Amino acid sequence: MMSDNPPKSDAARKRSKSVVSLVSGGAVGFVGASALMVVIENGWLGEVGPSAVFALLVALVYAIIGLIVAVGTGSPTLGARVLNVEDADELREERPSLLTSAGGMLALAAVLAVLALSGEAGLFPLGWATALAGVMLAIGLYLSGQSLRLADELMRALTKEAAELSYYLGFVLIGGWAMLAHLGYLPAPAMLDLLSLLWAIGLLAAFWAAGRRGMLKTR
Amino acid sequence: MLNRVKEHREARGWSQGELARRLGVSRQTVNAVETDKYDPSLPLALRMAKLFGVAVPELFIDEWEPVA
Repeated sequence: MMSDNPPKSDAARKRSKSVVSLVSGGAVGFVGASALMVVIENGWLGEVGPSAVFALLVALVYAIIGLIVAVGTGSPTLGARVLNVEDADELREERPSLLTSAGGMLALAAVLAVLALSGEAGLFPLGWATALAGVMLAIGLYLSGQSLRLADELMRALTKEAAELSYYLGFVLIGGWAMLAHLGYLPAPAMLDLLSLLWAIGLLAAFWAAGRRGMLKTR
Repeated sequence: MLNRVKEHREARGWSQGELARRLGVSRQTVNAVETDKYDPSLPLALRMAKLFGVAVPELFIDEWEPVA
């Protein structure tokens, strides 16, 4: 591969895009998390314990990413400013894969949120929580599968790498917590904590796999 | 792996999108191969070589030499 030094105008475009992406992503995340905390503190979601707060925050991250990708793909001109693509046409070309992936993320966000808000003092009674989480999980798994089917070999390779990294992260984080809890150094994780960790690890591994290949650099 | 995909693509006046369309992959894949972030599968490497009318070792440079 020959050396590939972008011209200054291209470097400036990338810098500006990085700033826009970081600022807009940070702002959406901050506003979303703040709004969630206000809603929780006002008791509008029923009784929400620390495990449920963690689960809701993880679900919020999934929802925000899913929404940004969905809106960006639906409106490619806008999306090209914040998503890591070369131009709006790339979003049009990848629309089926990106939209199913975004839908999958939103559905998985809903599963975790419903589970977090279920239970005796939660917003959703057991029956509703089971039905809602079950339906959303089925939708999420179907859309994630469709997204993978629509993806080309690079995305499939990244998915495999992320799955591999997820195993190691899970071993360290979930396994580490379980070991320390078993020895009495930490309280045992609640089932919801384990689920939140699984969701969080999946996302972390996906970013790690992409970052390892230098694919988080602004294009 | 070092490669000359960009060189061959530009020699034909194709954009990354055009090459991606001809290969049946995403533009991101072409970009990742060209910038050495991703080594393509053997089938894709063969398709690239066939498209450019060159042998795979002319497109992808491996400096490994067999031990005598």
